[in-house]
Parts: sequence; C-alpha cells; structure tokens
Amino acid sequence: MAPAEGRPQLQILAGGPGDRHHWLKRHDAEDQQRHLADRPRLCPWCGRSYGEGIIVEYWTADTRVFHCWCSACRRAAEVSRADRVITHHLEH
Amino acid sequence: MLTKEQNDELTQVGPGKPMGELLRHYWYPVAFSADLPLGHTKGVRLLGENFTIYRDGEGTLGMIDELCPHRMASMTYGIVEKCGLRCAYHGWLFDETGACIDQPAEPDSSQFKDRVTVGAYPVEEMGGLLWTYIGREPVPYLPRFDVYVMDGVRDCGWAEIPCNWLQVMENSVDPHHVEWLHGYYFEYLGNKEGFEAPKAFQKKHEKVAFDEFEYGIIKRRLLEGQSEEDDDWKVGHPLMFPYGMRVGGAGNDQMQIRVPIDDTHTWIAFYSCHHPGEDHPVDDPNEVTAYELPWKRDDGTIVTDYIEGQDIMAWVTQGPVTDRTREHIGKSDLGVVKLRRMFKEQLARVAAGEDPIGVEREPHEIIELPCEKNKFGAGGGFATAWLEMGSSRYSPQLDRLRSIYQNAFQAAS
Repeated sequence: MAPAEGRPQLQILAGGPGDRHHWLKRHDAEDQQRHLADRPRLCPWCGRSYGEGIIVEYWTADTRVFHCWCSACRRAAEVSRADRVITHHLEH
Repeated sequence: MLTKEQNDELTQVGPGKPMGELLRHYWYPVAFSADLPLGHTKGVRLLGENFTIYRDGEGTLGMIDELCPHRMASMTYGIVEKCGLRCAYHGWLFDETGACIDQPAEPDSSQFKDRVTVGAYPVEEMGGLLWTYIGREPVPYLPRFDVYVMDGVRDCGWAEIPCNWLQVMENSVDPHHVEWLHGYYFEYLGNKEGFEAPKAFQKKHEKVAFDEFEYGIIKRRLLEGQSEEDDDWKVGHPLMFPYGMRVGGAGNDQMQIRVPIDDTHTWIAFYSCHHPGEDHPVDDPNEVTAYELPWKRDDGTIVTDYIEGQDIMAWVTQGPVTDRTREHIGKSDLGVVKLRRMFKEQLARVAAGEDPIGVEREPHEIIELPCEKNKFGAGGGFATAWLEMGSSRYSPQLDRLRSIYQNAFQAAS
C-alpha cells in the first residue's frame, strides 16, 4: 500500500513487511539501551558513584526521568533532560 | 525501567542474597493453627528454604530444617513424639531447639548425638496463624498488628500463586489500578457476562500521595467528589513493609499478606476481622475460618469476576518474575518508584548492620495502624460489595458474615 500523501514511508527496521512483532521488540530494545546509556552515574548531592544505589526510570509526558537514590549519602535526586526552560518576566 | 542487575537484587529472596537477608529480619505466617493439631507435621517453604513445622504430643510447636542431618530424609514424614519429632528413616529424634536427643541405632555409649543438631526456629501462635522467624539472633518480637488481635469474626481466603512477591507488593502502591482493574474492567466484564459490578471502585482518582511511616508507606487517594477531609485522603491505609497491606472499611479490617515462598511463588492471604457496629459477635481469637481461593480454571485461564481474582490476574500474567528492563512506567507509578527506593534504602541499612524498618525490639500488646473507615466514600455499601464481589464470596461462613453486616446496618438505622 502506498504511503498517505505527505507522510514519509514507514521504515522497516527489522524483518519484512508486516513484521510488527519484531519491530516492537526492537523498539523495546532501543529503550533498554537508552536506559543503560543515559542513567546517571554520579550522585548530584555527594558526587559519588551510584554503584550501590538504585535508579528507576519513568516517563512524565515525553520526558524521561531518572529517580535516583545514593547509598553513600542516602539522598534521592530526580534527573531529567531540560531542553527548554520556560519562565516569565517580572514587571519592569 | 531498571537494569537486570537491579531487578535481580530486588526479587531474589533466597539465603545469601541481599534481599533474602533483608526479608529474614521479619516474622512470617506459615500455617493456620487449625492445620496443625497435636501430633501433626506440615512442610513449609519460605524464602527459598524448606522446613518442617510440627506440634508435638505436649503441644509444643517447633520448626526445623526439613532434611534430617543424618541421611537427609524429609522430617515432614517424621513420627511426632510426646517431646519432639523423630525421623521416620532411622529414628533420630530432635526437640524444638534443634538438639538431637536420641539415635536409636548408635551404641548406647555413643555421644555422637551431642555433635549433631538441626536448624531450629521459633514459632508463635497469633490470630489463628502460626508465625516463624528464620533470621539471625537476636529474635525480634512478633509484631501484634491490630487485625490479628482485635475482637471480631476472623475469615481468611488464601492461594499460592506462581509469581514473585514484589509484583504483588508493587500493586499496593498503585492506587490507579483500583479505578481501572476493579472499576472499568469489572464493569466491562459485568456487561459481557451479565452481572452487576460494584460501583464504589469506579470513581476517578484526582490525586494520590505516599507518605513514609514507621511500618512502610501510607497510601492516600482523593477521588472525584471527595475533599481532603475524607478518610481516603486524611487517613489512607498502609503498605506494611515488606510483605503486607492493611486495608479496611465499614467494619471489615483486613491485612493482605504476601509471603515470599521463593523467587517465583507467593502465598497470598486476605485476613479479615469483621466487627461492624457495636454488637458484633466475637470469636475465639486463636481461630480463623480459612479457605483456598479458586483463581485458575481447568483450562488455565484466570477467574476475574471477583476483586482478588482480578489482582491475581494482573500479578501472575506479568510472569514468574516481572522483567522490569522492559517496562515503561509513568508519573502515575510514582508509588512503585518510592517502594523500590524504600527496599533499596532498607537493603543499605541491613548491609550496614542496622535493623530495617518495622523490626520490633520492644514488647507490646497491640500495634494500632492507620486505616480509613469510610472507604471510597461508599459507607456500608463498601462492606457489602467487598463481601459479595470479593474473595469472601468463597467463605464457608458467608451467610453468617452477611447476617452480621445486616444486623449492624439495621441497628445503625
């Protein structure tokens, strides 16, 4: 079937046409790899490694958030990527 | 999402594993008192280890390692003596302290028995349940949580399910599932199969909160139409770290128990004390009516037309151990995030040689727990819905429970 006008053709990442199951698995694997690549390494409170701590990734809207707990200083932090900062100007 | 290593650490409960060591700081119910009359034994599997519990001829309760240290046969098939349990294979006799007090085939002059012991663990009876502790000394006090020692009529549906205990516990800090699994899914099923689903569970969650307290996490919810003065928000109810949840409402106080049998099996029990109104019956505090919950049909599908069956479906279908390296959790799952962090915090305390939360070192009569009375703002209707559409519907004393609530409602009106 031809793609709808103005929309790019879906790129088949794995398997052949209709291999949706395989494609979804690949999507899962991508998220797993991103988790391993992006999870914070060092505690922003004490600077020590999160080696013995825990890092749980969750999503809020389309933002990935890493909830981190450091076993060295026993403090928690949430780390997410901030692409945009929105603020307002005070009257002047 | 977690790494595989972190998922393994949170879910492996056997001896020598960090979580196994943390979980060995607590007492666990392993049998009903009624299952163990004088002169009986019962096999127990707890935290990946096997034991034999028995009540000898003098009424003394004991729990020892399942395998006899002689030739490793099971003591669950042993001969219960007036004092102690004798292995059926060669007759070695052990008492409740684990001491070997007889080896009939050895020479009379032999002192061999003094060299041999079997692992032995304390057993206590409370609320019609037999409790044991398999951790290190000093043994903490058995916590006398209110549900187990309050006056009323005791009733307990139970099941053994093929999944890790943590996926059951994570459900306890997931308030939104109530609105969907027990609300909309129940309604959907009712429309399809021709029964009326309870409406109390369908209200929309406006906000949820999780507060740490000395025994775990208090979960609060504010439902559509409620204010912060309503019980569900003002009082809430607690997740009991590390293997329970205290719930209740309208005269039914309940502890939901999730005992880790091993990494892939959990003994779940819904232990209720019914005491609606002022003039309710009071049963023997050491008796509980216990019954196994049917949760799986012959064709392998799960029975989901009652509340706890729906929960079991959600827990078991995740697999023996949820693969949390593949999950995608969101903002509505922050209770789950908080619980995982709490487990990690307590693992660190144990690694540092400290007690984790909820380990009782002081004698006490009763531990009163915070728990809402007017659940979901549904008044007495909640108790009725819980009786008829929850696991109590399988209780052999269901008619009696119905009449207890009817009498309480009539007296109140």
